[in-house]
Amino acid sequence: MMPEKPQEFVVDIRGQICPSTLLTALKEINDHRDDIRSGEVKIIVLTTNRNATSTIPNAAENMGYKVNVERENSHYRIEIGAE
Amino acid sequence: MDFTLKTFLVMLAIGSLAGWVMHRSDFCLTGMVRDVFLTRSFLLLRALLLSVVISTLTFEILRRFGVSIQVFGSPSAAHLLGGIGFGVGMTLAGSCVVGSVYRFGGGEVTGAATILGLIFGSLIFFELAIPISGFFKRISLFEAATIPELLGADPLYVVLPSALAGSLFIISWARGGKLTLKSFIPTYLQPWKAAVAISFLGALSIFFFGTPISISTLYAKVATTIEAAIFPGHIARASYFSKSVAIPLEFQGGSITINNGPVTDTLFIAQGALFIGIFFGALFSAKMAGDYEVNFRIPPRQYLSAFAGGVIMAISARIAEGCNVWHLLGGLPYLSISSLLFLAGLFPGSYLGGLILKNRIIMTHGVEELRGK
Repeated sequence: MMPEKPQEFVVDIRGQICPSTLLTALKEINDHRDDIRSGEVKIIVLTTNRNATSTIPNAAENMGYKVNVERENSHYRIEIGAE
Repeated sequence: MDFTLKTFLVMLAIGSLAGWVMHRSDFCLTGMVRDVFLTRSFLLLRALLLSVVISTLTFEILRRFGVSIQVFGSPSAAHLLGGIGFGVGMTLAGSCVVGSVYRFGGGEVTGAATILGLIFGSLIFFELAIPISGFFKRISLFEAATIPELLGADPLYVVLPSALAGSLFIISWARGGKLTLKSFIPTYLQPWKAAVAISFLGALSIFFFGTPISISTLYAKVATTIEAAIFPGHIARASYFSKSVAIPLEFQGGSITINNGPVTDTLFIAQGALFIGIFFGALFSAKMAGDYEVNFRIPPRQYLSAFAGGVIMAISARIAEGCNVWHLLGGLPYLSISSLLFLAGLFPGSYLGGLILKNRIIMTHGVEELRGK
């Protein structure tokens, strides 16, 4: 049974060199994959890299996760969780 | 209007538009080669081919109308070696000579670290790498600078089949949806649209100034000027800094002047204007999109990687007689053999740079294999 409110695991990679953003996000998704799939954890990626707002969500969707992207102040918040 | 002033204003306008487009799309010339190895993504490489196909046709049209274009030199081992080095440098830096400017304009401070590295690398080239560069330049394959020259054919007979073959690939990718990436923010510009825009801006650069878009010589000029201020006697004695050339531009009504010394020439004016334009174009784009943000809290090894990448790129660009923008967006459409050698070198260089990046800088080795699983 999926928990009501998943724990948020924040990956703050604002300002980092490209492609650290995508590779770091993929590593965190992999490290927490069981918890994400069970709905216990959501990965929150904070990034300033515009390219990452497409590459990370596309990669995560290909892996079968649900993704939401929104601008938060002057950076982007990418939320990756269970479908 | 005076040719120098006209050059400055036109290049400023071209740079501003290029900066805006590059920022909106994150049109990364580094990623075009690097992502093939690091993330198995070919999207940006396809956008590069689109840009080359358009530019191949527009450059030939301009040439047919008598527009003066700066010619590329004969190929040598230096172009291949420079390509390998440049591939390592741009992958470590995460951006190239132009990418670092639009990223810095968009608020990324690692772009500034790369720009400092590019200036410092130019100084190292002057003092240490000129003899090495000369040695490899002497390992020449043949005199012919372009494929049409090598074949002894009218460029049109090479340009048209090349453009047609490239177009067939592009049509196939467009039909298969392989030119676009699903976008999650409204202000994202698809790379293929940026490729089209950058191609036409490159053609404008040739129309008004006779050279494709490039800014790597600017870093060398800044480095020379700094060195001349600190060690004026050294610069005055070294023969390298007294060399100068003037390339007449009959159509444009002026000339490209290039002087290795700390003096102003028209190439410096053109590239300086491009630099300023790209920086402020990207800054304006970021402010309009609402995503201008400066972050200094970055792992120190990433600052070091960005700086070191800049140093390696500057040395490699001097060895290869041009940077990636010059060779990929200017030389390839011109069917320059030296640019093809540079491109051939970029692939192993980017692969090597990617290994260093994953294993020593961002410690995420192996994760790219997870994509799609």
